[in-house]
Amino acid sequence: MAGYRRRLTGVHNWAGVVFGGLLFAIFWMGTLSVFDREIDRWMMPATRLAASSDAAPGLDRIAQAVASQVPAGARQWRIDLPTERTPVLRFSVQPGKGPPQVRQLDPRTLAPLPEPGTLGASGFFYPFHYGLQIAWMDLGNWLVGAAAMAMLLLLLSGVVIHRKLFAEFFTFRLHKRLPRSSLDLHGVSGVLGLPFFLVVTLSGLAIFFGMYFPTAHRGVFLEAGERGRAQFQAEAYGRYSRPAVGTPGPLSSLDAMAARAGREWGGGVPYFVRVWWPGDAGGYVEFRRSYGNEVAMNLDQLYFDAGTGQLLRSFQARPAMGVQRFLSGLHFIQFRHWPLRWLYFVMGLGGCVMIGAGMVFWLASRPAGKAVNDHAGRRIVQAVCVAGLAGIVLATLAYLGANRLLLAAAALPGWSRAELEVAVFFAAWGGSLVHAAVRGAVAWRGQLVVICLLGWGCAFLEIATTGWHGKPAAVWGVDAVLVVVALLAAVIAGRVGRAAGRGGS
Amino acid sequence: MSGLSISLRIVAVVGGGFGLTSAAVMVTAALLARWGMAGSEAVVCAALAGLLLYPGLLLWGLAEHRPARLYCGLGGFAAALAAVWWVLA
Repeated sequence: MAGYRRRLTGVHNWAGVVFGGLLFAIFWMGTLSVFDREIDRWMMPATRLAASSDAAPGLDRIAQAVASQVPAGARQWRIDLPTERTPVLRFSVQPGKGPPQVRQLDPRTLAPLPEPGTLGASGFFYPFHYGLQIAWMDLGNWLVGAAAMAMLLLLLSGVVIHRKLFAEFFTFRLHKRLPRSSLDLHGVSGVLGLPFFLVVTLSGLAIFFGMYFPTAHRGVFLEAGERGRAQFQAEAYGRYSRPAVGTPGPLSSLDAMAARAGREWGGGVPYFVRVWWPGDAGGYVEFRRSYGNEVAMNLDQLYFDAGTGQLLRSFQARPAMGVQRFLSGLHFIQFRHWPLRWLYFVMGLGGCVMIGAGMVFWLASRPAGKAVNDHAGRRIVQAVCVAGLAGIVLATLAYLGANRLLLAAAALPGWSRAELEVAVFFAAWGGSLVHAAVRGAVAWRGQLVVICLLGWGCAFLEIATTGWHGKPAAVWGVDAVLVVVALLAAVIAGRVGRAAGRGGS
Repeated sequence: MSGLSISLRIVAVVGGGFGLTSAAVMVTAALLARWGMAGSEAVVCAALAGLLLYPGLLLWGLAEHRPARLYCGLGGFAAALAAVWWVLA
């Protein structure tokens, strides 16, 4: 057993060193995504509308209002209904040719809201969390999958090698030297969060099971290539479709269909409504049931004939798929529950602390002063550690700051305003890496001070640009967290400064 | 242990282990469907189980210090999967 434990320690150290920075980035972005809609409101002041679903107009009025924006020959248009966290109507249309178009509408007046000029959190932090902004051959998704597998391995091997875990649980030598205190922090956050980390890692992997095992259906759905895969998808996920017929056809009452959907679903409400082949006699209407009141992200869908309003097909997930949808729901937290949402946020930060403390411990137990530790590997880990932990926080704040600083009309040739914000994020992150590579361990303090300044700066800019009054709680929440981040950065910068004074790492 | 043998082992466990897991998912799905489970359900069950099998293989393989046992284990598993697949086909 001792030999096995020793070998697992090697696995734990190597997996941690190789995947630590990536895992921190994934955990950080995932933690921000817990409050992505709230950060969206912070970044898109025009969408800070009072949330009330009762004042929303009926679907038929919405359909009338958007009809003029649906081009002839469109494949589909879709309305996502407002929710407590997203108080806007999202209208999107897929023309016969060309890219889809998206517009945000005021749910009361149905007037289009101004272009947000930003991806916000749900358009940047959230896709970063699972795709790292690397679209090429799904490489980003695969890297995140590999990191998640490494995380499982790290958690399981961590339990085995820190076997005195529970005996050491109440031991937190905060004022000891860095190797000791960072190891204690790693252990305490690891034990406290272990169930959450296991669930969130496994459920994250479960979401993409079809991507990791693209051949899984081959022994069951025997038709070759894409046909077999499409058959599996249709049976697992529903998805009814039929072709357009080419003769014009009317659209009967969507409200009547919604009433029927409510009866079919025992009072469930739709979260989006999609009209396929608008204006064609083959057209049909799809309703998807809201996730708001349950953990599982149900696949309940109803399809109606657009012309007659007759129910064409009803779909519900089967049991095993239901388990997959429950796991997905555990991960996506699309249900309404504020205390649980905050708990996810805090646990996510706990994950960041565990990963960060583990990396810092690896460095601190190999002090830079000794000749035996003076190799390129340690210097690389040192720079990745500073840029991966402090740098990504700094870049996130720079992104938020750019959102409040750039003028609404800001753009460069070939760059939209939203792309400029993203460029600021990556420029700040790259700058942090260069700074860390040049300055070594001293970079910690400098970057923490910048984080502190940016945190205060972002909160100040938000209030300076949008005022004190008439703001939803979501925006105040983001401001408050920014101030907490700034204060924490100041405290840690102070401690790092003292440790440096004592000659620590 | 030489660097080469360690690299070989990592490739065998991480890459070979993933290949074996994918194959095991395919075989398990086919078996479950053969035993009467709905097709899509069988695929989902097998794939979710595969997400547990792979870390298990990694934990065993990366900490197994006897190369003979490692390669025999992986090879034996591959042979067993191939045999079941052949019987099913």
